[in-house]
Amino acid sequence: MSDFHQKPNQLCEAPLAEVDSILTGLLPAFLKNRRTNLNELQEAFIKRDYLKIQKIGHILKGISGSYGFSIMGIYGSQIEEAASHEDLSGIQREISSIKDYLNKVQIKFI
Amino acid sequence: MTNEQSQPRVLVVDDDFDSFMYLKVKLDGFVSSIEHCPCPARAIDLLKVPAKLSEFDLILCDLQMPRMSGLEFIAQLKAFSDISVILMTAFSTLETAVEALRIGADDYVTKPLSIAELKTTIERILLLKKSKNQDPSELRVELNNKIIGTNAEMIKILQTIKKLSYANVNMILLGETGTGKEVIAQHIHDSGLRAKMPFIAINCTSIPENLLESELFGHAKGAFTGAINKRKGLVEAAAGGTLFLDEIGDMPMGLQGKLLRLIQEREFKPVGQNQSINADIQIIAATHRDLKKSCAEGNFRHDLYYRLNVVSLHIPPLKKRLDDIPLLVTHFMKKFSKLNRRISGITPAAILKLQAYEWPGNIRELENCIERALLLANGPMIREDEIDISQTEAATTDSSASAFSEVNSMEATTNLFNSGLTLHEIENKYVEHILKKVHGKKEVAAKLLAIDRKTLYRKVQEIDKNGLS
Repeated sequence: MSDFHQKPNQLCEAPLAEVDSILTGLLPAFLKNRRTNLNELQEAFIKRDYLKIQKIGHILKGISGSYGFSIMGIYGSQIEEAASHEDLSGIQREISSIKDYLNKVQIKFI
Repeated sequence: MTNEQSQPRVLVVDDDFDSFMYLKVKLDGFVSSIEHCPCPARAIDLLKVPAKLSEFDLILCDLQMPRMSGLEFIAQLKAFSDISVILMTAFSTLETAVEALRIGADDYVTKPLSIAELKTTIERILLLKKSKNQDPSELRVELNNKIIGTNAEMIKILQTIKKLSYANVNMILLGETGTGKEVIAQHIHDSGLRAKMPFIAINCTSIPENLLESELFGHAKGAFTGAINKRKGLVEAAAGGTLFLDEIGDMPMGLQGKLLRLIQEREFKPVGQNQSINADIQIIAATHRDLKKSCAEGNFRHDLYYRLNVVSLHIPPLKKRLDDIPLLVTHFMKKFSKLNRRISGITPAAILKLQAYEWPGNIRELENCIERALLLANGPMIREDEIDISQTEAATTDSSASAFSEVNSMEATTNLFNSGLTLHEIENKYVEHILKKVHGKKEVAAKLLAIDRKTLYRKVQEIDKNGLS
């Protein structure tokens, strides 16, 4: 099952990302950059820098699905939306979801 | 793209390095080279150098970038270069993508990117570039062959169609009734990549509201009373091709939502079926209404308007292309030549009379006028006095109007029905009426009545005997 079919914010099991094997070489950098995004989100959250949060959310939304991490794309979309409304609890929830996702995600090359 | 190369050289303008790397890997083998510039302002500076600009055939540009947006980038780039640009954007910013097309982007793709879609888009853009270099005189020939005329405004429309023929975008044709919107829609279809696939046209006002959804999307067996079998709709029939929705401004609101879903999600559900069906079609819509006004009045969905209005073409009324009348008349005379083989042409005075008229019913009205003139003319030329413009306007208010529709006016029909005549008497009255209209020419009357001459003679004898009027 692709991770797209799992509900966001409810990761009881380890989420699965189905990644095109042609992208194997790009994956370490991709994941490293997403962890950097997570740290940036946490810093921006502390500073209440909604524009920065929106921007990172937009990046996650745009790039994650292409690499096979569709759920992270949904989190990106949701955090972008929450930041546009300055919804602090929503932002916090999505940051937590992204952190949880990055810790648990399992990768299957297809 | 240079002649030696069959693959494009691409520049990616995107601040996100992962996006670029993804494209680099996924487009490997499809492009001959791919370079990255993370800063749009820097890209503008680079591309202003002719030698650098000539290194690329195509630019893939992100929409959201720091300091300069994709829209600003395209606007600045198009000020000094006509290099092709494809905008990459997320769904939520599709309206902005449409704006990008308006300011000069050649097409857009949505994120997350579908590489298959991107490759198809790139191929289209490159084909488009080739067609741009075609000799403009070819357009005129094409115009003469298919759309009839040499009017400058029509040639501009044809040039736009040629530019967009591989863009596969939704279009809307705006113009008065009778201006030939369906002919143009067919031409758009025939000029594009979908030419070998079906072209399906439907007039949204010609089908009752409750049947239109089923007609468009089909229905499952038992979906409603009378649905004894599963039936495919026109959307499915147009698979891979083009669906032409005429008079879209009159589409019921409920159905507008379903059409929006078809355009956005590229899928639809037949009536009474839960499972969605994928639809790969190009939609060309047309209307004589002012859709912006309809949106403001709440009669047309804003979101649907923006989805359809990626490209809009204003088809001029006939009164603004009077110079095309001689060519159009020649075309219709050929078309209806079987009606009166004694006619070989039209006098200059008759043409001047046609050009002095405003043609509220546009080309359809002219067609009806020429058809009627051919029926009534004595030959060998259609004369000025044989052009009866006074009868044409009523004949063209209805899209199905024909040369003899004036004899069927609603008022006359109602009077006839209220006169207490039997069906047989009404039939004879109608025959008499037609004979009067064609000045007693029985051959012409028989054609209009769709009966043979013997039957007409018999009816005339009967009318004379009974003295109906």
